[in-house]
Amino acid sequence: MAAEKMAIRPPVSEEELERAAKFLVRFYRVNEEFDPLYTMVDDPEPVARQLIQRYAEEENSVLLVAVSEGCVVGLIHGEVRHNPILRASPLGVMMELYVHPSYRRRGVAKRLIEEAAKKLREKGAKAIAAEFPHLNEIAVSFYRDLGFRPLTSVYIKELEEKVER
Amino acid sequence: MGEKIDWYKISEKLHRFYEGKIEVILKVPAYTQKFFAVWYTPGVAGPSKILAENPDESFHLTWRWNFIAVVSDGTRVLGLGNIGPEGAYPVMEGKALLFKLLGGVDAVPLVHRAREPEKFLELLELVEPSFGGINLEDIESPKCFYILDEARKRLNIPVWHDDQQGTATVTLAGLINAAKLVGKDLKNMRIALIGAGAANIALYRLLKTYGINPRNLVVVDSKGVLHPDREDIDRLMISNRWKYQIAVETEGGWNDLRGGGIPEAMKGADAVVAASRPGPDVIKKEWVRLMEKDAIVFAEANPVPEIWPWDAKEAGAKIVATGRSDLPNQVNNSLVFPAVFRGVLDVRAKTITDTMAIAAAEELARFAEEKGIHEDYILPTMEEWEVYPRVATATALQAIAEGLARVKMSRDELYERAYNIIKSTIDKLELFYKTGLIKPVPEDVRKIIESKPEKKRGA
Repeated sequence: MAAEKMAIRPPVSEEELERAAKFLVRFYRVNEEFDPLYTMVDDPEPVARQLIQRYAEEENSVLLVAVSEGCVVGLIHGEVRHNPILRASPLGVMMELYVHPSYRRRGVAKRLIEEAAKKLREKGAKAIAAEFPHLNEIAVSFYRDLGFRPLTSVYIKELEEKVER
Repeated sequence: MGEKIDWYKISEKLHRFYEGKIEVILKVPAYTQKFFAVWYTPGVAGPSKILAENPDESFHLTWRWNFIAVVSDGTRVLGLGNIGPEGAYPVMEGKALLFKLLGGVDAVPLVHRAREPEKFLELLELVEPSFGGINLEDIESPKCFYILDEARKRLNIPVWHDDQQGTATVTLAGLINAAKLVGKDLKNMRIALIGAGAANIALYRLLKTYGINPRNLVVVDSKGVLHPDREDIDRLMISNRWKYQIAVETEGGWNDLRGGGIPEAMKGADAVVAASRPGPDVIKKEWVRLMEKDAIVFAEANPVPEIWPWDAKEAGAKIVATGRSDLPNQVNNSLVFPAVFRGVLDVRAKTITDTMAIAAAEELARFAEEKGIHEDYILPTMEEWEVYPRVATATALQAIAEGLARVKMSRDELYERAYNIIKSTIDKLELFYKTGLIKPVPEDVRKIIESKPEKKRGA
């Protein structure tokens, strides 16, 4: 089914929230591939379900699902982030995006991003950004093709465990 | 059952006796010193100057037209695993022997330490000027898929990975004739592929190109049926995109499987092709009973097939093929690679497409059909050497039809050329045997090798 016929909207039922939570876990499981700091907690499903609830309720959050024939096939979550010293503030940041494998390569992710951008703009966002693991080359080329450019680099290192008490 | 033959031991003995198995020998007269001025300095500067201007002439002024490399990093050798380049050496030298004997192709083993995919590819690019083609061999999966795909793009000579394309092509040929025997249309058959390594991933692609709907295919790997809801599906997208693609395209096959393993995949299948791990009983008798009437079972693992033929037949299989030479219907890639390379070298094809592999498979099947196919004869055997010029011709004609041939010839010209090249190798060898230029095998070994193969049940 073409992406145009797909409904992009907030999840409306318990069932849809459940499925969204499942997709959230799948999204983070992909990230686990790229860096151990993306490793999830044991039994992440209940945590994901709570997160989804928060995303759905919080004022500065946007949570949308792609629905095809009554079934959730994709998910996006973004939030509005403020930094009052910058002209571009607030920024709309997309943090989680997932599309079911059977529905990929037909523009679902692109539509999710467009709709999320609209909602973030309604909440005041002046620009939109996407966060993803540095080594995820699929994401790099995907966002580049949509006209995004690299902005922030996040470098990370583990803290050494304390020796003295 | 008689005494079991220890092939490992005999092989070691003969490898030591002959100190390897191929050598380079001249094909031009060089019996007086005058010839050195022709074949070497100063005369050779003539061809060299031409080649500096026009490198393409290397296919006419050197042996490049008939010369290929058998390349391996030794990361997945036979069933032995990652045993390194030296470990792979005798296998590659053996492959070179088969190339010469069956296809008249001059081949050298080229084992190396470039295990990193980009380094491996760089090596191929760097040595490309020496060769008319590249045969890749015994490289671990999924690295082998990337290396083959990339090498095909980057090199201007044909690159073939025999563990993928060779096995897939001969399997397709077997399926074509098996389908004929059971009176089914292969294009509408439901086929379960057990194992998702080099051979079956290549077979999947070949079957799709042949015209089979991916929904009529189901593929099982060591973790079960490939389907789009599998827990590790996104990881596969990154680590093995070939498996990922199969999961998405087949959607778990005709039964929309969202879990399960080999028995679930075999349910309702017309054919099963297992290229997984040595059996027996990787495939169980009762699972064959879940298949459609007149089931076709290809159990290709070596040395022991996933299910013994007699067990498969007892459970209702109509046609059974294995990888073994001592059982009927051997699915043997040696039927394919010498002929495919003979064909592409003769027309200087730029590459070997899947449709060329299909043309080779169809000709292989036709050859057996003309001889009279039956349950225990769906594929030619390596002894029927006339099959090689036939398959070479079919491959070359397809290359011409696809606009990939740099040299064009008629069917008759192609056949005659391939026939003559292969025949001349056979004739030369015959002479070497007769004159003792190839030393006779030690008596104790000769007795074993020349004894009739025992028809046996079980190993």
